[in-house]
Amino acid sequence: MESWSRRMVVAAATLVLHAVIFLGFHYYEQSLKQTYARENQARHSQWKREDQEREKKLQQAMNEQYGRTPEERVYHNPAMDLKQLLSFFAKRNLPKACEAGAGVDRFTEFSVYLKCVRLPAKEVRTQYLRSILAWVNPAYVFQVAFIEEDGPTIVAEQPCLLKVKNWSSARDSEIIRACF
Amino acid sequence: MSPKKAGADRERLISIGVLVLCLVSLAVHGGIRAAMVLSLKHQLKKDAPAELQAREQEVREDEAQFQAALADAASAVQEGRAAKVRAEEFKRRQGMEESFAQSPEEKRLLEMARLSRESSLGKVGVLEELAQQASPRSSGIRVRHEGKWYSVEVAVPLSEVPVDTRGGRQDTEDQHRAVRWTVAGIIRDLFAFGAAHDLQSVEVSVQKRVDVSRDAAVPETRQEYLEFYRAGLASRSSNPEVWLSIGRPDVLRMMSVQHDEFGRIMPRR
Repeated sequence: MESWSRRMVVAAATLVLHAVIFLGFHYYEQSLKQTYARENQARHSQWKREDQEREKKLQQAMNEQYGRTPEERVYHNPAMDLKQLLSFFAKRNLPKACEAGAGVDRFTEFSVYLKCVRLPAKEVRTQYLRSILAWVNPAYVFQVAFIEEDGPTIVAEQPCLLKVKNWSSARDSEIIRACF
Repeated sequence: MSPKKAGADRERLISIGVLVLCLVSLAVHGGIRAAMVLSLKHQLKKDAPAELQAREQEVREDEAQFQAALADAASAVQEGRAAKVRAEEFKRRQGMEESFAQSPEEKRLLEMARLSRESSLGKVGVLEELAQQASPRSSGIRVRHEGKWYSVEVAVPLSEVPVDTRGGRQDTEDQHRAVRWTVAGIIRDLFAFGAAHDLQSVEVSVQKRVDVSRDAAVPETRQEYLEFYRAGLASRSSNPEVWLSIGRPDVLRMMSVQHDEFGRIMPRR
């Protein structure tokens, strides 16, 4: 009888030891996995940061390759299509209290509008036209509309835009004579 | 050996057996778990360098791609590639590539292109359909046939001429501009899609409907159409590509204005 109870104690102790072994190793495994996951996460976060920094540097280097000024970068970038190009230059040199935009209809009729509280003076309109057409071929521009809120609209249409030979070097008087 | 001693020995042997069995089971369990942990550690240690290697490879490839892109950008600037790409885009737009069709106007032009290829309607039918598509709604359309050639007359109600409404006020000059652009647009579109159907001339008039009273004593009025503008163009160029590459400003220069009430009443700025 005594030996039976001793055997029962041994069996019970074995079961307890099995449980201890199971739990101990299970805990150790979990802790190993957690440590690995933490290290992995830290590594990936670091890589992500490195990637972002590299991407930024690459983008900067790429932009510098296209030119020194934002205008040159946009102009020389072949990924910028006609609408994006016109839209960029339409919004680049905005006169005060004005908003601008560019659009296209009938496939080829690209237009720019400049909407202001008060219609800008001839000289301002001239500078605005030059700031766009020094970069964008006037053969692509159907019209540039100057719109006054609750007022008249003045439109510089393509025939007048084409009268100016060289928009980069054209004098104000030449542009005014052609378009206004 | 006494049966009592033999029983005690058997009991002891069983006890030893049980103890050995327990110890062996513990050793096996512990061994299996230890092997599992070692395998996991090994796997984790093996994964990290492999991932690191893959990462280094990825960075190297990125760097190579970037260097290639930089070289490409430099040559793009030297070759003036952006200007060529944009010229190519403009050419594809002139050819009315379907991928550029965003607005209702552009979809209408594509529909006109489809109609111009329609052979079942006959030349008069095609020209009538084209004129309907090209003109504002409620426009009057007449197709005439003289020998081999066809001519189209379109009468556009002034109220249907779309005026640019982005500004706050529209004056006579705005309306005059809108009328000229509309007329030039109709002429160009009709020649672009109708020239292949022996269209020789297009004449467009813009009219306003007015109530006219003949006799002051009679309150009855009747409606008459007052013509404000009339322009036309005759051409025998049947090459649609020529017409598709022509802009409305070109048509404005080419068309002959036969009647222009706006020019007479327009205020000088």
